[in-house]
Amino acid sequence: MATGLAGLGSSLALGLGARRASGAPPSGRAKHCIVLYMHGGASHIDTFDPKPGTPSGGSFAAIGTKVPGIQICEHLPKIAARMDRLALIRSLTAKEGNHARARYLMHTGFVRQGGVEHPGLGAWTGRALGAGPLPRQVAVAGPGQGGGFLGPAFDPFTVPRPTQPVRNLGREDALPARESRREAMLAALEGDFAARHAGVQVDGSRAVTEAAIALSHAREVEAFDLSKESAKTRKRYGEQDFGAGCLMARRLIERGVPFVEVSLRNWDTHEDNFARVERLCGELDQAWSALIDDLQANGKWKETLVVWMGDFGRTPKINARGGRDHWPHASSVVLGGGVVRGGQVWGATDAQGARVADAPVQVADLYATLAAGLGLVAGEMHMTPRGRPVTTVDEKGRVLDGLLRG
Amino acid sequence: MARMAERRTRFALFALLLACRRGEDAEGSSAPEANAPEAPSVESAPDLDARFEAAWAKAGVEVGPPVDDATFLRRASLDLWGRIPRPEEVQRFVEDPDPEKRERWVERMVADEAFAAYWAELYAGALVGADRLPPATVDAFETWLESGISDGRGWDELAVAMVAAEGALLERPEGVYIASHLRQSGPELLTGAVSRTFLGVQIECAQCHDHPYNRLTQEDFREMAAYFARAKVRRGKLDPDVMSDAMTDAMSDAMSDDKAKKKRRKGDFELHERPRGEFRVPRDPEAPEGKMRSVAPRLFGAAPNLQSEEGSRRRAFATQMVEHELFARAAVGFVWTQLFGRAPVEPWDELGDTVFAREPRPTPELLDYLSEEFIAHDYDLRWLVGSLVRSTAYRRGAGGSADPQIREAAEAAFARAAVRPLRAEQIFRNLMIATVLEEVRGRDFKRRVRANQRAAQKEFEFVFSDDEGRRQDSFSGNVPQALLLWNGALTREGVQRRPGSLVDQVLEAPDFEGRLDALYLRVYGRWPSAAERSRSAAWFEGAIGQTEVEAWEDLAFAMLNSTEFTTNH
Repeated sequence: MATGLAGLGSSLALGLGARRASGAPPSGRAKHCIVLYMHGGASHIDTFDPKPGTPSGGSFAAIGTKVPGIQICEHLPKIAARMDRLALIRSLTAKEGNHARARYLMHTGFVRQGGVEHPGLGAWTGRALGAGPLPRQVAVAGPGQGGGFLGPAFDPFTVPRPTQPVRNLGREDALPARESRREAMLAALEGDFAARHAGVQVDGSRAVTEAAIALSHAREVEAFDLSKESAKTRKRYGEQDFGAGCLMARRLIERGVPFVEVSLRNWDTHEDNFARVERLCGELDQAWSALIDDLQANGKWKETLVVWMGDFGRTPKINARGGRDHWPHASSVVLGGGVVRGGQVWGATDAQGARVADAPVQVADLYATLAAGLGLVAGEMHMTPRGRPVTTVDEKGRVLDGLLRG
Repeated sequence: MARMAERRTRFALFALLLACRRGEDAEGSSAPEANAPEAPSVESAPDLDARFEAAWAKAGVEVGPPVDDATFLRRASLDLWGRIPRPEEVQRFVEDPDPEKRERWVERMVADEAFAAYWAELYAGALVGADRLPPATVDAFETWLESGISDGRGWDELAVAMVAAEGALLERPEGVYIASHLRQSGPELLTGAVSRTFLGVQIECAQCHDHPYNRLTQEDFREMAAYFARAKVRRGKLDPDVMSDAMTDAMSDAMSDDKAKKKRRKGDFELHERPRGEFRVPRDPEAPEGKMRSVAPRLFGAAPNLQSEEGSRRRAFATQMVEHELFARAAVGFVWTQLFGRAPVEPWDELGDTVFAREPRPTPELLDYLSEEFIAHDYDLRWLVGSLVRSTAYRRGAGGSADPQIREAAEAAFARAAVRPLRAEQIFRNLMIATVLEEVRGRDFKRRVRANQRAAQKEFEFVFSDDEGRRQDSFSGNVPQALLLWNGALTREGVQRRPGSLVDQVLEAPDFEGRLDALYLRVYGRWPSAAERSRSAAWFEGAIGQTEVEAWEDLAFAMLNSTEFTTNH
């Protein structure tokens, strides 16, 4: 049953990009995207693809979920109870086993190559859905991915430590008359400089300063202020960076930010995998489940696409230090939100969790699917500064049909 | 000892900048003329300019016009000393009648202590890995690099010392490089770092599978990792009585006495080479739980000469590494990227395809040529940086066609200057210079700045740096950085008039023209254009007394937030 949709997936050979390239984004798509990024690469076997009782299974047990037939790691009980709202992909496969290159791939949908810097999903989402004074994309507790050839204006606003107040968002002592004179003077200086040094870097730098100034004036910056939430709520999410980041993501989405990425770090468990993964799962389970509940309560769930992913999976083999090493050949991704048909599993790995055994998903396919869910035009053609044509999503990507609601 | 004290860079640098001691310039003499040591013989690579010109002609790119003196000095000062020039330096440079003054000034600036300090800071940032080590230890590493650069030790010698290091880190700080990649992460990550940093090959792609784009295999990765299988970091047990001067010095420099004592009890980290230990992998890749085998060390297939070396595999690796053809090219590519925002092979640390691709890409001739010259000049970093900074390419301006593709093609061929972001430390230092906070004399303010210095410095490094070490060319400022400049205390308070402050000094000039000159010279390192003069005059029309003071504060503030101030161009 778990792989029942695989046949559907592989039979879909139509190029989505080509079909949607000319059309307007379809209605009924998500207006926001939250990526929960597992920095360092989460062990798929110890999270969403358990292999209990096999040599690669490790010490964790698997537990049943809200959906009969789907089992996940025992340390994600709250997510298990909400499995009906999530779609689980167990057959993502890639070739990048180096953190930097894998992050580039997972954030942009493209393999890193010379000559072109691809924009991240957040840049595309922000570009298509951004409006209002708040940043178009926010990266919390991690670096996120830049705007690539779209320029620095599409870079994420980064909040490295959400547990600490975000500084310099405004100045209470600023005098309006002098602020506007400073802004006018700056605009003149920037205009001169851009005339002498035209280029995407300079335009980007100007846009960034303008965004900062607009933000300084905006009432919506209170989205960053978690002290506005009750102690009870903060506790419900968990009081470390990831929990605080998920809470901030909810506040940002509520105020119109299209894209938020929240990173959970330290998944690079080359040693002491099990104790560390148990701890990380605890943080993840608490924050993610609170986020799901709140997005449902405030009505944002139906217009938000939530993605759980990371650098890569980890080796079925447990090394001499009780760790697992990098393993891009097979990993898991979880999708949620109103546009996702929850309660299903896509694809499967073999008995060891080593190789994809059914319905393989390339990162480009994942990106075609995310683009479809967000109403991005996957096949839209862009010209890089070096004059190279690049599509929003790799043309090889095929939408995983049936993962999204029709 | 006195020399040692001079060299406590990172901490001392900001401390001195903020301690506001006029004339006691932590980052070197305030002008190249003053006390510059005898310049080393740094004649340029003879054919470099001709080769640039040939490459431009071949690529058919538009060549940017040469820059004027003030622009050149600001650019070179940021790249050689990590800071903008002070007004008196700009003045002296522009007025220097010597037609060869650019060559001469660059030679002297490269020979200055400030060059070694800045490039040590730059290299330390690129070399130190993610595994945490005590700040005093990392600081000692930067100091070690600084001495190495200023003593003219070659990059090959420094690289061998770093890769082969053994011993307590505070005594042998060159070991910080290995230790900071090895401590928690094991030999795999270290292997990837060494290969990338010193050879420009991202072999870690081959860690889990044969390299997707070239003929490096998983076995190549394992064979390289085998050189690092015996390296170990441990906490040494220190007897305070036998601590070397260097250690005491470095420790007490970075922390209060109480803390230093505590640290002494805990002991320093030690990098150590075990007598045995192998890199082991499953004999049968299909049966990862089965029997294991040891991998013999090889560098891209070449066996080390272990008999002639005293045991250490890392020393054997270091010897092979510096003899590899990619070693010099990676070093040149790194330096090139720092000076131009990109390298002839992009990025500089992905040279693998030039040698190991199934169909090798030839190395661009310029890179090849400069790498050979770099070797011929004993891998002297001062020579390398000096040669590029004196080259015709480095003097190109940003003017020319407005067509983005023409501009991009010219930038890619180094025929036109790119606008480059500055590093956190550079922006911080520039703010201190531009606002004259390094000289300001108000005692209360000085005390307050000093009390906040670490916090202020930290905030800049935090907001401006990326813990993933993102490449410089993909970075160009972001909203938190802009917010820090727009709303942060340093700029807000830095422009306020108080005795000796920027605006106070500007107001010392007798008339509007003189005041505008003073402001532009200090913040932008140049004089205002005619258009800027007339526009500024309009802003100041009718402004007298307090109104005029406020207008100067506002203009200074706008300039500190402008792209012209926050980039190198």
